[in-house]
Amino acid sequence: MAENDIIKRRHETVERMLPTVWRLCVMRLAGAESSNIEDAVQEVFLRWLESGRHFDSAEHEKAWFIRVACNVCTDIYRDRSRRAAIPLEECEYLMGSNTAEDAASEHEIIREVLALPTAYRDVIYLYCVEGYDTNEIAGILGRKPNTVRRELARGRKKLQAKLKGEEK
Amino acid sequence: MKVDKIKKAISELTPSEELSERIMDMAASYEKSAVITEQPIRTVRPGRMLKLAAIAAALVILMAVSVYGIVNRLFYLPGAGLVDEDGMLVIREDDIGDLDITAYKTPEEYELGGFVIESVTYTEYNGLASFTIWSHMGDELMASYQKDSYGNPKVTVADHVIEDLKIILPDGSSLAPESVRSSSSGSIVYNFAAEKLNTKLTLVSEGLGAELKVELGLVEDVGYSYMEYPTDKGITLIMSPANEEFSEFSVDFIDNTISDGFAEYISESALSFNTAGVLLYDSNNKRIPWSSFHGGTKDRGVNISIAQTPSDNGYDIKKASANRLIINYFLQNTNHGDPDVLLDIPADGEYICKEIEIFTGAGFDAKITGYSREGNQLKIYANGFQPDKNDFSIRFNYIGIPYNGSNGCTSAYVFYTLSLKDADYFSIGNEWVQAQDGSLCRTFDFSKMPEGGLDSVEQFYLSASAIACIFEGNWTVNY
Repeated sequence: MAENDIIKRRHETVERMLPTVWRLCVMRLAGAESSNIEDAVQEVFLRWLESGRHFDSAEHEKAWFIRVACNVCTDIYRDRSRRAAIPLEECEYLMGSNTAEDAASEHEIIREVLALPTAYRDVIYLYCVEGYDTNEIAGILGRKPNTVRRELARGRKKLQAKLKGEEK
Repeated sequence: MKVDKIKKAISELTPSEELSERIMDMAASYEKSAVITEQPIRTVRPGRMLKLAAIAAALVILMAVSVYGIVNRLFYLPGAGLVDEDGMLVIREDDIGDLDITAYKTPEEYELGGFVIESVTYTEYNGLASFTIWSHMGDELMASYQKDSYGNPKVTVADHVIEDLKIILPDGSSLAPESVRSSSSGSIVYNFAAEKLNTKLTLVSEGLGAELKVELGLVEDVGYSYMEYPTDKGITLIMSPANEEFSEFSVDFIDNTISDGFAEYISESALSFNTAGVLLYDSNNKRIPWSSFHGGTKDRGVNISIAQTPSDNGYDIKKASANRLIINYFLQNTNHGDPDVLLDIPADGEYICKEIEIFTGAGFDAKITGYSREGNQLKIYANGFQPDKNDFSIRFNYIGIPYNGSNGCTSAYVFYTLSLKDADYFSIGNEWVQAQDGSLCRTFDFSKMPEGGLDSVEQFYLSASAIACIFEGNWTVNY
């Protein structure tokens, strides 16, 4: 394969996967310095490049990136100096690109999602945003499907209660 | 909370242009042959593996000896095995893996505590695939259509989408799915948005043939059933029938919002369960033997499987009870990390008298009051620096860990780990230490010592790697 073709294919993969990897790293490391989240994202893509991996399908590619992103974030999370240190309200990378009227409510949703326990966050993200079903999420995260279902139910219930201001 | 709203909000999070450009540049300029590939960071490092193995082995011991009620008389000594108070070897470490904890006796009957549990309603669809109503998610009903693994491989998931599926609510009104999603794993999820679905429903579709009657068993408007112990202490014990084909019970944890902070210390490899304390009964109140036990984690829970027998076809278990839980709060990998302090290696024979807090949280207050060195052994002390008084009990006595009992533990242990800074991962000594008051001292030997001994190392880490609690009580689940 010509060099240009290789680079073109790599760029296509980056374009496809960067938003997913970025969002997942934000979900996992919210509150950390943005440089740490960027490090995580770069590490994921570096691992991909180093692996020289080709994927059978778009699903395989996406699942691989998600799994590796989870692992990389876990590694970073173990380093206490790189953990969440910034209040969520002050994280610029959580502001999103929406400037419309409904931006405020979207920020509120993001903030409340990120305030959930990590396990709930992972599941909600993969379910709601990436469109995986609970069996697939269980496979990706190495959890039992029933556990994922419970986490999803509880996470959403908590989220709903918070956004409605019902939680005491 | 609708899926679409969450999706829309989170999708707004996008990486910066600068980051995109950096990664694009990296992808363009990367040449595998020109790059020396570093060894990727492994999720589980050798040192951690060693610690995990030691903790796991020690937990087995804890579970075993606690059944006998002799937890105060046997100790795990890394490198040796199970020893008694006099230091006599009772079980060699190599034999620990062979301990059959299920062989220990346990009381036959327990008083009923009484809570309702009901988890999943299953409904079979007689076709190439099965139709499963598995859960009620907040304001949505999730219905999953699973492809039969023995079905025609040419039949795709998309072929099974039921275009005209509707649910009929008790008041006669009907709801069409808000969204239908198929996935490559062979399921189709239908989202029905409604405020209250905790009731009897009917699913209708010409494609389905007969109407499907579905009853959503709901407890306290949650959508799944569980019992909590203790309900206000941050830990929830869930015992749920999880599979219709073989009976399986799981014990999970919920990080309650009113938690005293206990559950947050549980990490993914944190859970053990005294299986000898679990009893299962059929509808005639007859004991049903369970056949296997799968060690648990926070994410995966603890599962107890029961063999398919005539008395247990997957529906016949009506009651489960337990009297003892041992939970290992593995402090690594949690939000709280592996609490540790970095201390200078004392000179040989030197005693450092200093109160140092190692870990405070979840009702624990693990602190030492000093440390010392004798040759290549390090000792740590708690609740008073009295090395002379404790000389007789250097190896087998305890470090006191005052524990306020607010989380329901009847007794607790801390797994302390000493690791030498800048030495390799095998320079580790670790000990399970029972929580109790008293003036105590503990000696740590290292599984591998640097060539120059402790003289060649300047500092060491003292960390609390895990906490184990024994919960005792009578928990019964009826369903």
